[in-house]
Amino acid sequence: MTKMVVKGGTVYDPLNGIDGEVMDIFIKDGKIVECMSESELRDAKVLDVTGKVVMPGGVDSHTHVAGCKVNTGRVMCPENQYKSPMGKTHNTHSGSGDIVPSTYAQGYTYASMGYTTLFEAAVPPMAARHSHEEFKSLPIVDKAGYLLLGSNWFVMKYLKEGNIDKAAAYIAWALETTKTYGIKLVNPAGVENWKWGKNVHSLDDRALHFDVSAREMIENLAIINERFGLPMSIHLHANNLGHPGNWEITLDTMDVTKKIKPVVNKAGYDTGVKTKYSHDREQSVYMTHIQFHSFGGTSWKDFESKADVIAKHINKSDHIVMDSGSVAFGKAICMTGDGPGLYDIATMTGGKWANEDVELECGSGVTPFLYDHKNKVHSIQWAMGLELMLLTDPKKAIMTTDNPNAGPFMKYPVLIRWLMSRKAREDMMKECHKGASERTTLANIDKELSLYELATVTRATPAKAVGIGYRKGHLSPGADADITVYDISPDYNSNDYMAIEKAFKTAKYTIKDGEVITKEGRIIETPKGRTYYADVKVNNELQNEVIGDIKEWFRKYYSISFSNYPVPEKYLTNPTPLNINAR
Amino acid sequence: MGEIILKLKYDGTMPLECEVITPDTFEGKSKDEISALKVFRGPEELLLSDVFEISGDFTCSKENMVIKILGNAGNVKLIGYQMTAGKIIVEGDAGFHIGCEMKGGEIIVNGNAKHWAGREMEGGLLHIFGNAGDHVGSSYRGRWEGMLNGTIIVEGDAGYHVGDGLVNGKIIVKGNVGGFCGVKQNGGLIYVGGNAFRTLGVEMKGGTIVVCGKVMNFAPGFESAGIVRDFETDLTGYAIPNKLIVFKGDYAFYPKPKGKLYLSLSENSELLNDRMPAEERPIEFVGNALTVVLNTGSTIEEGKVIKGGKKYYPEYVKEAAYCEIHPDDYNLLGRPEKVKVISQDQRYSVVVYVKPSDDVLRRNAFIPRGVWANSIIDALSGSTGSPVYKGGIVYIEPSDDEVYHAEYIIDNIYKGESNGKSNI
Repeated sequence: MTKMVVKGGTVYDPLNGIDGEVMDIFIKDGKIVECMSESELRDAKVLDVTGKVVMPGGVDSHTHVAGCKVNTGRVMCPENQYKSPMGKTHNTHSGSGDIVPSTYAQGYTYASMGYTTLFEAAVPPMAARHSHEEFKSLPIVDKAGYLLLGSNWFVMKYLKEGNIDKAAAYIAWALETTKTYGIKLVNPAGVENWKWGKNVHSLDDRALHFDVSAREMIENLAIINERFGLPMSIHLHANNLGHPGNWEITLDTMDVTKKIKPVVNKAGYDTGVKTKYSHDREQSVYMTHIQFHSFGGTSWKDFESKADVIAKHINKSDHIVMDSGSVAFGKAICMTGDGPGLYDIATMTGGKWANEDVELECGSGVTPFLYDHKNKVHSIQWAMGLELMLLTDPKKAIMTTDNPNAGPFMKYPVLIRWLMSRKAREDMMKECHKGASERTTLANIDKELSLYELATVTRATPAKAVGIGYRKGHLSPGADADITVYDISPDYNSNDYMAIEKAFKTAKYTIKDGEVITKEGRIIETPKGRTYYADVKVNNELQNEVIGDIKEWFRKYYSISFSNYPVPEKYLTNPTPLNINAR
Repeated sequence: MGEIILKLKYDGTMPLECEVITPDTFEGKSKDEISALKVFRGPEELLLSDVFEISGDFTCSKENMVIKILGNAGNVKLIGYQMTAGKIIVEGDAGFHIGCEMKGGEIIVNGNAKHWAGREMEGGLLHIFGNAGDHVGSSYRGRWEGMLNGTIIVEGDAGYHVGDGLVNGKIIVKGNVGGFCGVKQNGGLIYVGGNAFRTLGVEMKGGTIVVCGKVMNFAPGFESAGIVRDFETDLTGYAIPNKLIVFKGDYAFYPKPKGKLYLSLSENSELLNDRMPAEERPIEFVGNALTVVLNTGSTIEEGKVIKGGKKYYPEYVKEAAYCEIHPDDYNLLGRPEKVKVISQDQRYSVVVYVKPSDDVLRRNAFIPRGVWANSIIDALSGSTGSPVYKGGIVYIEPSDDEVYHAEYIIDNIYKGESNGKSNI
């Protein structure tokens, strides 16, 4: 029976419309409660945070923290590991790494920055076991993974046959079998074509041998998603990533799901928590790392930002939510399921490169990258990432660096500095290539994100967009007591941007499930987080028929056997299924 | 000038991590403070005074400081780590990573230095009077930029991977160097007074390498650009042969590389014929055996057979225990059914079936990468754990001996080898 009062802080809780109110927050048994009786108050621990900023625990709805490509990134760049050792303490493991830290170090660093919930953005079905094994050593945070389905043979085969019911039954089986949370598409149809050395360059290009276009994949998976009423919408990494002029295909892609109504079937796991503004997701597509998809021009020579057009389109469309994938200058490691996209980057940089073909399901690529502020293209990309965050309605925008593709998550405070201070942007712009001011609109943007808006783009919007709002992303009674306290005055001076960066680099306190987990960067408790996954029940007869097909293809094509494929629950820390009845 | 003398007391075999031995750390410290500096032996923390007897003058600024290390410091690692000024004299041998990442000052080693001497050096002088180990002035694991500046002089020989990823600065080795010298070089100068061996300057983008002796197993990505006289080069002050062949490369990796190799003409005249078509490779017999260049690599068929580790099946013998040679060579050998393939040093051999094939050039042979090929490939691992499978010389002769199964080779030859038995 733990009881705690977080006393006297200035609270920012966008889903409840609380914008800088001084109030106390009461915690009982890991949940937030409305109030406490006199006797309860007497034995409650009091955390005095007067003059500090209180927000819900951070939610990162798109990050790469577990799985085989993350590990490849570590192995490929030992030079990032050996110079950044992290010693072992009485309650933490040792670790290392500055771009992709070791698994334990990732958990500690995220927690000390105030993040308590992470969503791994790409789990290859066949390598789900690996992802879960890394989740197991990812301390403190709650986590879940998105399943890569955009170039999956079963889905494509059933769609080619026009049998969307079977495709749906396969997806339900796959989500449960791999213990993952939702549907992710990476360069739909393109990753399959990459296995034949090709790619797709328009929405109507087709996957070879399966005769399904990128558009059909997106549309049908969105239909299946809403038929089940999964907590999150489809999570879409669009085609043509990182190619100049891709903004047009991005605009088309965003409208593919325009007519599809979002449905959330949460009867099986709803906790009944209410917020002032609805926490049910309203979008039917989540466009990820949109910065990489807002490229204008026709080549690197006339490369320019189209971020303003993209932001305008998102602002007027209610069916879209995006995360920015903003660039933070410095070293990064690009890792994604988009094999062809990364091949293009690797041939451009001449750097190290790894490519993986995941049998019938997907693929991936990994290559290290350096975002150099003296480079024209990189400077424009940097400005674009900020433009998108500043021009898009915070209710539809999520701040990410697509960790570690556009920069490691440790750079979030640097990003916050630029977003919250115009002067910080101007000072950076003086140093970087003139392309940043000439080929983007960043120089004309006066906006500075407020603390309320920052809480929106790092807490409320991501929690709502991935459907975890029933327990996270706000401070309503009944929600998980995940709370971050930052050591920054509510009337900070935005010109003193280094102070802003410092405040967000290390949270004063991070509280998870009602326990103080970190204090000024020091790890106090290391609980095991929950692992969420979608457990969708469909019609038994159909499911058995589909499993018959799956078994046949396992015999014919897979290098592992059917019985070795499922990830049992014992691999998960605190397995938390989201029961969804779609019978 | 003030001298601080460190006399080694330690004679254990376990290396010590002594990155504290630099003028930068010693500056402004009393004898007691220096004695209390921490060094590591594995996970165990020791004091510097547990390892050395410390004496001398402790009043100097780092610029005027000389640290003298007496005794055999072959197990003392990281001497002079990141030093910026002053001088270190090692009277005996020096351990791993001496002078690594140093930025200025001078280190003199009167004995031999172990691996990684001067790796990722940024300035200053490292002078080794004995021999040096592998990775002199090279980059560390994963990094592509090695030494950024400064000078390394090795009076004796140096090992493999001299100057990996050299960006700028000079590495002068007066003796011989091992393989992979100047790999990924992008500037600066490597001077080799003796011979160089295998994959010299491969993946070179810029910079200069001079070899006064013989180069063995020359890399294929270089194009000769004529012969120059010593005074026509910009290498003043170095002892170089009076006629040199200039090569540019590495064209195998870059379309417009700026790397330059100067090789002694008298020692390497045969390299001028590097454009000679492969079928013109001379026919050379050693006894009954024809000299050929061996290439290996995995084949798809082989991969299918050993899926799941099925190495002890007869199919594996069929798919991996053969040697492909050109039909002309096949005729030269008298159309044998089986051949014995003998390694370059003639210590190892293996019997395999023969397949004549037009896909292989004359005086070349192909054996699938596997148990049989492994028995005759030298274990030049290049620190990758995987032997270099291509381009070595072997001798093949007709044979009536039995082609052994994988299991037999592993049990009797590999394991027998480790028991100290010879396999031939």
